[in-house]
Amino acid sequence: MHIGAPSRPLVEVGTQVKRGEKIAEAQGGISACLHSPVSGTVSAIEPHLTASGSRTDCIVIDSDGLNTPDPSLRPHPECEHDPDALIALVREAGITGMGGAGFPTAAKILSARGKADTVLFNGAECEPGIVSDFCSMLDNSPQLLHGMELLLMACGAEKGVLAIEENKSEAISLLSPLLPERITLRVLPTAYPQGGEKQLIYRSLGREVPSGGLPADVGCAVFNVETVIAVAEAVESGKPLIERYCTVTGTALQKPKLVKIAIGTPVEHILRSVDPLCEPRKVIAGGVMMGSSLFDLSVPAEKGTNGIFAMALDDTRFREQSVCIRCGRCAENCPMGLMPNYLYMFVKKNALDKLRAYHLNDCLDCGVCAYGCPARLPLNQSFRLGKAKLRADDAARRAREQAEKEAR
Amino acid sequence: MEEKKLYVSSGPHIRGKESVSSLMLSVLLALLPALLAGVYLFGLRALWVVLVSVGSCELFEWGWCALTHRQNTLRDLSAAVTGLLLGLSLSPTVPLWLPPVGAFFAIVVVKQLYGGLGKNFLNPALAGRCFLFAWAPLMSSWVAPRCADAVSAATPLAVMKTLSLPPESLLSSFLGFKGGCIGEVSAAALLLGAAFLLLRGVIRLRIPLSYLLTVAVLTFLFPRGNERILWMSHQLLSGGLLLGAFFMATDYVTSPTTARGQLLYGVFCGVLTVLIRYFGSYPEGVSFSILIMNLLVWTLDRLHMRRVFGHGKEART
Repeated sequence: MHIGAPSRPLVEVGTQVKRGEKIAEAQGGISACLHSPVSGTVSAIEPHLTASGSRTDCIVIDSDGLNTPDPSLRPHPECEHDPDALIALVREAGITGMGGAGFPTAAKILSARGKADTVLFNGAECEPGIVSDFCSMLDNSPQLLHGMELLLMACGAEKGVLAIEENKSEAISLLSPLLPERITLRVLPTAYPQGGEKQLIYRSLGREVPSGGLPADVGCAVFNVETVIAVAEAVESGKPLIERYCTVTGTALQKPKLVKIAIGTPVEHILRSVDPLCEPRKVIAGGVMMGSSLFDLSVPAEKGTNGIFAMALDDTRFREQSVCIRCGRCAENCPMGLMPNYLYMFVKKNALDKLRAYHLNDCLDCGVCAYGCPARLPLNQSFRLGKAKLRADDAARRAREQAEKEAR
Repeated sequence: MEEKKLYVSSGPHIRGKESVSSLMLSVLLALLPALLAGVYLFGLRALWVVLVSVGSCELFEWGWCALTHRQNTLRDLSAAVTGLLLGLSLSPTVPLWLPPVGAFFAIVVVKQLYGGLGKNFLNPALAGRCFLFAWAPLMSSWVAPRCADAVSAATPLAVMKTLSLPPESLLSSFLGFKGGCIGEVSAAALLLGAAFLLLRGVIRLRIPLSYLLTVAVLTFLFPRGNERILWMSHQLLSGGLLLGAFFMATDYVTSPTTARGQLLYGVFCGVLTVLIRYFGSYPEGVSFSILIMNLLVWTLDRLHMRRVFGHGKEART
């Protein structure tokens, strides 16, 4: 699963696949190829529930337990100095942003090419409690260094900045002596949502991405460190994106664990690898702030699944909702400078023009407002509804204008 | 097969510890030193006034909820805060039928008729207090502290209205040995409570500091006695200024939510307070200043919204 157009299957039920073999082809620019993370037999191609709660066509593969690698995978030394070859390889290897949102990496490089003077490498760890970025940096520092050089080359940028939160001192002390001259280390305060793209650019470079704009508009591109490592691995051994680090934690488990998961593994299988403390009452794919809670544990882990939380009880469930007392904490804390207290009121009143005037569409959905709200109001949750209303309103207006044009 | 049940909700899946009632409880705790000081200075009579005030606010809140078939909102403790603030801002000599009248106006008219907690545009306790000025003689008969037989006394502000410095030393004024409302006399107790609220993160310094600084600067620049610094210090310590600046002007519901709006709100409160103290017919102007500024809160918010990230200067609406 990734953002963009769904990919087209290249296999049929009964096809034998090897580990790393391409099983679906990207469709269009913003799309990604899929590869089998195991060797085995395709048993079904059918709609299956995913973490977002909707059904998407999935390729189900029965593993033969052997993990026989695809013999056609090979190193790609030709990509070391050729941006076009590297972008093609990244696309072929199905690499998407691994920080959560899952934007196809090849498309991102293309958007930044020639525009970015600085490339940011995001080791800030977006969500509290997740250590996937941190551990991938510790375990794969050679690949990280290699990947950073490759991406700088592909984007045509001069400088790179590796941004790490200050509480990850081991990663800082390990990497800072290894960095080449043109890549600087930027230690950031530990905060949420530090790993958000716009916040990271602002904190690291003092540049502000304009509303509705892309990082390329202010001359930069941002890549998650695990994505960087995946790019290096694709060049070094031809390995496509078939596995990732995933933090498995939560109050229903005895000990948190960092596991390397095959993309597509059902969440219930991943949970079985960690000793439980009790039956989980809430399971979250992603982080506790922005992740989605699951109602069915058969959903597959995706390329962006950096964490799975199994909670003994639902923290938000036993809190009484009150009314807005205008304490202003939400506005004080909003990383985008929005005023959630007013936005909430306008969503309830369905005042769409006000929602636009107060810049609802700039909301990141980071959830900081709802986290700190003493009245426990569903702030960012209602903003999602508000954004959907704005989208519907925009679509209706476009349709109306179109109809008028045709009538003329 | 047993069905496994999982809770599903929209993120964030964790919430902060603070709640409306925990914030209100902090305010109640922060006002305890002022209450104790008032009871120490004016005797048990003062305690009765405050208890009747709190009790009647609670009663009206409960009664309103029962009458309108709403969920009982006593547990959010906001009515208790209103009652405590109202009681503390009364003279210890008021007849005991007076606090319930103020409580009715505060809770029913100012708060509930406008939609309850969060919807009132005036500070209920202050509005209730000002409503009681309909019985002005009862509201402004003051007694000297630590006197068994209620010797009437002039408050420092009343003395300063005659352009002379009050007889109390700064220290005794700071500790609370002067005439005045139950909860306003002891600056020491109020500052103790305010420090608790600030450290606990319940209130921020913006409003009280800009309010007090404005009063300090204005009274320093335009003293009405020859002792400039003494004049300014007595102005800061006297009347309801500290109680108002730390506990009433900071009322969430009736103060701006933007940083710049909060600063301006404090400054305007300070200017109005000095204007009323200097030129008004009342010796004190804190209550009126805050109530007047309450009416401008939404305008201040709208004029001083933060710049939205990624928008130029035009982000303001």
